[in-house]
Amino acid sequence: MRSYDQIRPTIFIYYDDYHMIQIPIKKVKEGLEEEGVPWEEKQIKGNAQYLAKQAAQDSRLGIGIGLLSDGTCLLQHRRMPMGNPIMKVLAGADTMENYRVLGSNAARLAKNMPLKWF
Amino acid sequence: MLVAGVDIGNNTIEVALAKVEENSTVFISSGIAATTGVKGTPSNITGIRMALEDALRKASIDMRSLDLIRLNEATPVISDMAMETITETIITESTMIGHNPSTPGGRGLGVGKTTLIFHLDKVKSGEKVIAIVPRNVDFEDAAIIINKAVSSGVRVEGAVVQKDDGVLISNRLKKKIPIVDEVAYIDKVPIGMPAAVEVAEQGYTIKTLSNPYGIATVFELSPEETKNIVPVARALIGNRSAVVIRTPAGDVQERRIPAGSMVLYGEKGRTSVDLDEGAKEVMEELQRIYPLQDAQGTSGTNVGGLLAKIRSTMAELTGQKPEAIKIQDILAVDTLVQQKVKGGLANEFFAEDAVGLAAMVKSSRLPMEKVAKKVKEELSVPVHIAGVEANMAINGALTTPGTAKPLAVLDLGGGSVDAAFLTDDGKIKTVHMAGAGDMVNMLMGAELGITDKMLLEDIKCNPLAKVESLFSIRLEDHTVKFFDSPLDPKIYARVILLKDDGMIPLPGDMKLERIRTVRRETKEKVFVTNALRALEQVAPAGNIRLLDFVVLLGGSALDFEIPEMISDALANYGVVAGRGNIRGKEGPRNAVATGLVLSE
Repeated sequence: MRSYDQIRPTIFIYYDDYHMIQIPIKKVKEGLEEEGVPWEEKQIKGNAQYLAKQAAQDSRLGIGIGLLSDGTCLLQHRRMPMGNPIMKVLAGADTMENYRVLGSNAARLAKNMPLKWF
Repeated sequence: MLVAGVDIGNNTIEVALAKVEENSTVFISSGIAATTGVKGTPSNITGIRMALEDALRKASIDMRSLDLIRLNEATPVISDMAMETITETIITESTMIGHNPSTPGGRGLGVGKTTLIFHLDKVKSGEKVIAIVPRNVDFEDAAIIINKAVSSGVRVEGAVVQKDDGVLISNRLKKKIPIVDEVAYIDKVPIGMPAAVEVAEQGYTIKTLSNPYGIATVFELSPEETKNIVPVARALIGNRSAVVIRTPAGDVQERRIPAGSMVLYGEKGRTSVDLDEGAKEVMEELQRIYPLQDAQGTSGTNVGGLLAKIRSTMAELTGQKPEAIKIQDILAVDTLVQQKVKGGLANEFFAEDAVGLAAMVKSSRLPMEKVAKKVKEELSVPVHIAGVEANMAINGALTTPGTAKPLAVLDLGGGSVDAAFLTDDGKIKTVHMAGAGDMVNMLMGAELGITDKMLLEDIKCNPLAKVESLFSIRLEDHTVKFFDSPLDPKIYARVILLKDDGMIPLPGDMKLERIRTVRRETKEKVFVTNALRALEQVAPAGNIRLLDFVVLLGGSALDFEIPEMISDALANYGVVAGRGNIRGKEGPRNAVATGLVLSE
């Protein structure tokens, strides 16, 4: 258990296999960085919905991103129902830029700014 | 006897259905439908039938039981409007970029020669440059190239980037420089020219490039050149980031378009007024010579074209020659128009001055007999044309609980604001003013930069809110409303319209406060101005203070704020004004239809 002052308000990114998702996660982080919102990442087991929901639950901002090894990526909010993510990029996405848009939107959710849609 | 009063208006046809006996009239139901075709033409028959059926259905009565239809003698007033901008901003040879990307990179001011990022390796050591980074360069490569150039002695002072990469590049640079990103037309940036890039701290706006002496210092300008740069500085005020490029012939001009002058012919003489002097001057001159008999614009100028356009529209509607059309009222309103800057590099918009004009024409009597004949044939019900619209409106308005003679009514419509005054001894005076609901839409559209007519109507008629979280919205009055289920993420953090059938997000990133201000100011400029002008014409001795009661009627009286604005303005004159409630239950609608049933 981390002590209180160590918990930063950040967006959490949970994935199940780091080696499979290197390009998507790089793009997601670019989106977050351009918007200037900090994040933390961790590897855990589960399906995409669980990864995203758990990340959102654990994040102090209540915003989580779940990234599955097949490329499925979900953006979740702590108060949204499990089966109802805010945004998703499906496996085999048309363009890698969609992951960056998802990253930007995670940050915009935290900054209270309108989201972008592809 | 079963009687239906039918009122054909510009936008709606209203019906009042009643059983009329020897000495009692019992109202049964009312109906409403959209006006089909132009008011007073035989194509109205479809709308009349629909409105009648609406009323009959509510009362479960068959069309054949109807004994009489009373039509109003529709006031042949048609109004039209137009708008012209009188200033124009042109950027020649791309001298500046002034826009607000949400996330520019770095801080401060950088000055140097614009240089494409591919050519940084050819720049001599010690030279100051501004790097230009087009879309096809990845942010990591851009950072590497700039870092390399800096380490070999090139002084990269700032960067202009096409993609939304400002922060990403900035975070990877060894030496921090100001970076302006999201510049759409980066290919138009001239290369090899002295330029300045400025990015302000978050929460601040730029200081140097929005100040003419700041620009003069940066580029070592002469006093004469400094004078020319003023529009650039002015255009950049309020931005968080900006780029100014000094090209030999480059310039930002604010051009005043000669708007032309208008000649007003009135009963008390004629006068000429320059539209450049603004709407206030036009209205004052109009007041001086009122009542207006005709207005002409200098041909070949904006105002000439404007009045000619109105005239030809009217001619077409009434089947008269354009020369025979006499403009009998105008309303001029100063406004701002959001216009894309000619020659801008990042989709810059400036607010240009403009004048909106509504004009009203009294044509010869509308061919109501034709309409009556057509209705008789199609519905096989006897039809009467029963009296002037304003008189009927007063008759109807008097069914509002709490009203008595002498009484004034204000009919707030789509095209015009009409007033009628009924004296103690039963005399009625009426007047029609140009400009109403449709003009509000036009002015709001121009000022907010919205062209979608449906959306404008929605903005006019519905309050705003801002989505603050996935579960709550903040309303115009700053109260917060919570929801049990999550809102659509598509409307997250957006300004929305609260309609009965849901929340409509507004396009762009307009601020709620601004939309609200524009909406309210526009309504004031049109409806309050016209309400006062109209009442002055009909009031005894032209003095609004001598009126006791004013009843507001018509579709725009249903608006959620216009009646309050007018009541507020009239309260200053000690006049009781309020939304009518026809027959104690119909609200401000159905006055003329009700008056028709009661007439005889």
